[in-house]
Amino acid sequence: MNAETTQETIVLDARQRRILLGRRLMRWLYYLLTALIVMLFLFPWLWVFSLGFKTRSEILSPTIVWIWKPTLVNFYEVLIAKGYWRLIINSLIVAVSTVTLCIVIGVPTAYAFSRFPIPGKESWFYMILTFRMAPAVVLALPLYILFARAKLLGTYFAPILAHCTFTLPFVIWLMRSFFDDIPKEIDAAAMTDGYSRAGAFFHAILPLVKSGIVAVALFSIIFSWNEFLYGLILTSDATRPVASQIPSLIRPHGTLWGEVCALATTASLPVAFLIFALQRQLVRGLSFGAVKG
Amino acid sequence: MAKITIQNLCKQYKNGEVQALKDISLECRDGGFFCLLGPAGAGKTTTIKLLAGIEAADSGRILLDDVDITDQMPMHRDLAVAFETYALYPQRTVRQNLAFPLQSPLRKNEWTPETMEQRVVEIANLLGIGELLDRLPRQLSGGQRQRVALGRALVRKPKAYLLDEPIAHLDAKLRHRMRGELKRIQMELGITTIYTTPDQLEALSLADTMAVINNGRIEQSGTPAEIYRRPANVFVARFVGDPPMNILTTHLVGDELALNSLMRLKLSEPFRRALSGYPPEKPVLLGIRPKDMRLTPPDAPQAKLHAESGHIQVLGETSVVTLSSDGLEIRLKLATQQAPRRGERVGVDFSIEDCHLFDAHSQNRIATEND
Amino acid sequence: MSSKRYIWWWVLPAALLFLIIILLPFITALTYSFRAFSFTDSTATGQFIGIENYRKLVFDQDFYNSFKVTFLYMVPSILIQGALGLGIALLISRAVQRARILIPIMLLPTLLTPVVIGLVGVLTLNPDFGVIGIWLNRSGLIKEAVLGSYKWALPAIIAVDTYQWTPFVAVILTAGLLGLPKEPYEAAQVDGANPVQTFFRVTMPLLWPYFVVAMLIRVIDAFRIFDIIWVMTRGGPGTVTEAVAVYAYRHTFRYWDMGYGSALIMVLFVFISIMVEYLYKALQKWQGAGGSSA
Repeated sequence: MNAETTQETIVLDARQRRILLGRRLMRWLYYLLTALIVMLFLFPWLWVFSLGFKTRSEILSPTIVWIWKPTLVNFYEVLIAKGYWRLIINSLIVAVSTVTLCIVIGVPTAYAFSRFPIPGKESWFYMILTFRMAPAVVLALPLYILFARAKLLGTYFAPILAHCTFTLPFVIWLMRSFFDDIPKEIDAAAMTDGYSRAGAFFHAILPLVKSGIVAVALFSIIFSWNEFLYGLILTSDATRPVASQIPSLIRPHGTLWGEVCALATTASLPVAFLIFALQRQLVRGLSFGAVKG
Repeated sequence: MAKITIQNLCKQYKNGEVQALKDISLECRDGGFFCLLGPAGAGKTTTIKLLAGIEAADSGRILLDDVDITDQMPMHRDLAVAFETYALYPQRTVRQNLAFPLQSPLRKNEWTPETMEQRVVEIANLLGIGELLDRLPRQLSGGQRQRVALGRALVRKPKAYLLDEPIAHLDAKLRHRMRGELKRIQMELGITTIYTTPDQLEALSLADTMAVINNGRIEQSGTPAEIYRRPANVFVARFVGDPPMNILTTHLVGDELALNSLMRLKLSEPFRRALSGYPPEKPVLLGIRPKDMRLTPPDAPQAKLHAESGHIQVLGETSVVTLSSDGLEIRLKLATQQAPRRGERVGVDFSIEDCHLFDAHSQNRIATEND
Repeated sequence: MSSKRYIWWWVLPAALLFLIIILLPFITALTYSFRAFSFTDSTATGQFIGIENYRKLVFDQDFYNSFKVTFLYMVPSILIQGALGLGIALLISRAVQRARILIPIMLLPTLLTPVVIGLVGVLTLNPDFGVIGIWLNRSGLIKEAVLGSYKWALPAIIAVDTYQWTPFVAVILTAGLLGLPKEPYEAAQVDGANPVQTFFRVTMPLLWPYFVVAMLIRVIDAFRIFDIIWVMTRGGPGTVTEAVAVYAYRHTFRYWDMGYGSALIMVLFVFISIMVEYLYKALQKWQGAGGSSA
């Protein structure tokens, strides 16, 4: 080992040494840049998180307070005293139910779009994408009228069904592109091997898009988690998801910044953990085949 | 085991832009080995897909033991398919791929895990992939994948096997061995087999009945011997047999066929009768297989044609010699030690009995009473 | 084939759900769009007024303005997010391969929800106590309150939106980069291509489908933008940041004019459906273009 290194140094001339140094420098530069980008993503979140531990005057101080005595008052106020921890549960209930429902009924539909000669297929497909693009405001009013009549306002059904308006199209759209990337011969092979169309779908095709489903589900959960207006209009205090409740902390006499920050960072953790737990599937799913439109 | 009958099958793709199959009719007897021979794009794979029920026919019927299965689901047809594109299950190991057909709900009570494993290993060993059982398809070479695809069909005992170019991507030596194995398995089990291939030698050596397909049409069907000895048209004549049959454009002059000024060939009695009433201005195509011609010295009295020897392709025991004469190219096959030198003047002799005549316009065989 | 009949079983649940959550509201909105409601006028009690709502809409300058605002916001933010996302993905994908934890870290800004990101924007841009607002003031770059400025309110929204969604684009592209096959790169190396050539001739064509999908998701969501604007400016000052969704909100939920709002919904649906069709066709063409230059 030692002999080798000494030999190496002997062989290197000045030019080679310069190249080696340059390469090392490039690598350090690369790491530095990567770290910088990661910090760029991480820092604001950490900063918001830190605001949750500050008092109002510390937050509103014109200069950044770098050193302070952390307080848990904001977390206590918003999560326990106001009882908003329940809103995080609400968000979970709404997001998980929405995504489960949409995956269960959207994946077979996407498969049908990919494989079957549905009359007017592409027109239907455009229509479904149209639903995805319609702003929440556009559907919120008629949904409000409808849910009011069906006495669904204030139940979990209201936000869940409303979130399906943008989740289901998203699931169908992306899952179809996954299915399109799988050769039809695989279905054919399974069917000639003695399986029905459904059997081929479950035993031969679904295992292939497993990570794709995870990726689509994670994105759908993010979108549902972030949705604001439906939760605001269609729910009661008991069923409201957390994102929709945050504006209630904007008070006429001043926004409760500490509580906003405490609630927002706490609320982002469950999804962050979910993504962390499923990151391998997420990356695999997203890079599966070529995700075509 | 079953008899397979195809009646007037038609299939179009892309809203009629591509006519894949034009009125195909075939019959494969119970326990028979039927080869569908044709060039790429002829409609072989489409035929297999329609038989398997993967795609629906536009018109026509498919009968299995005289029962109409044209509209039946693939799973209920009980046909095993080896796909040309393999279509292996990417996330399953070779073992799981081979076991997949046996795990079908249709065969729930037929197999125990032990007998299943036994069968999978048996088939894998037969195909020489016994060591690869725990690999995933993407870890295999093309030839290995193809053998898995074949194994997935052979693993069970269906009413019929549909094998779409199942050994096309194996190396030559293995292909030769697999050909023998396939024939042996089929004879042993007696399961009806439909086999497609672009390789005429494969078809001739495997089939007990065969059909030549081209441009979505059946050109000829029959036993290999029939097709080889009495090709129905120029396409079949040239497609079956290697090197392809020489086709010379001649004219009828009295009771002789004239090839420009190069050759005058006296017709035999059966040919003369077949050509009686044939318009003299209309050319007659004369076909002769390379192996049916012999070299003679240029001045030999029996030499029917004179030519100059060109390119010589040595195939081991035999060689293929390309002769040219006045812009005309003729190939003949002979023992390597008899091959001429390049550029040598030679004579060519052949017997009129070995010749095939075709109508120049329709390209169809001019049949004689011997046919 | 006999299996044709049960194609419908595959799509039936989704069709039913769409029927409930899209078609019924749509029909409801359609009938409401011909009736009069108003928060301020007590004579408007839902009586039939024909196409009056549509007539009002067609002559409302704010309506056209909202489209202008939406596109003024959408085009730059999509372009910036696409460029930044691509750059970040190219830079970071090698590191991600070693440390997969970077994926959830990158998505943290996206997870803070637009409402909060918007509020953070409000906080940091405040000229009295916001870090960035104070700095902008002191350095003399922007003298006024950013969110109250006709000139700077929209750029501020674009900046905040970019901060939230660039990582999302970067994550899709990173996953795409990690999934690229190695053979084309080996071939490029054999051909002696330099890094720039390799990027344009190998990486970009292979990555193109991912890029287009990420961009389409962003275009679709950008058109829906509401939360960030609502939290940061409520469409103001004046109507300079009043995007389509904010305009619709003002009329339906603040003026509570369900008739006018419904007419607006109808027009938007027609507009979006046309836009989607063109967008999707263009997308397929772009993807084809990316593929053929490979």
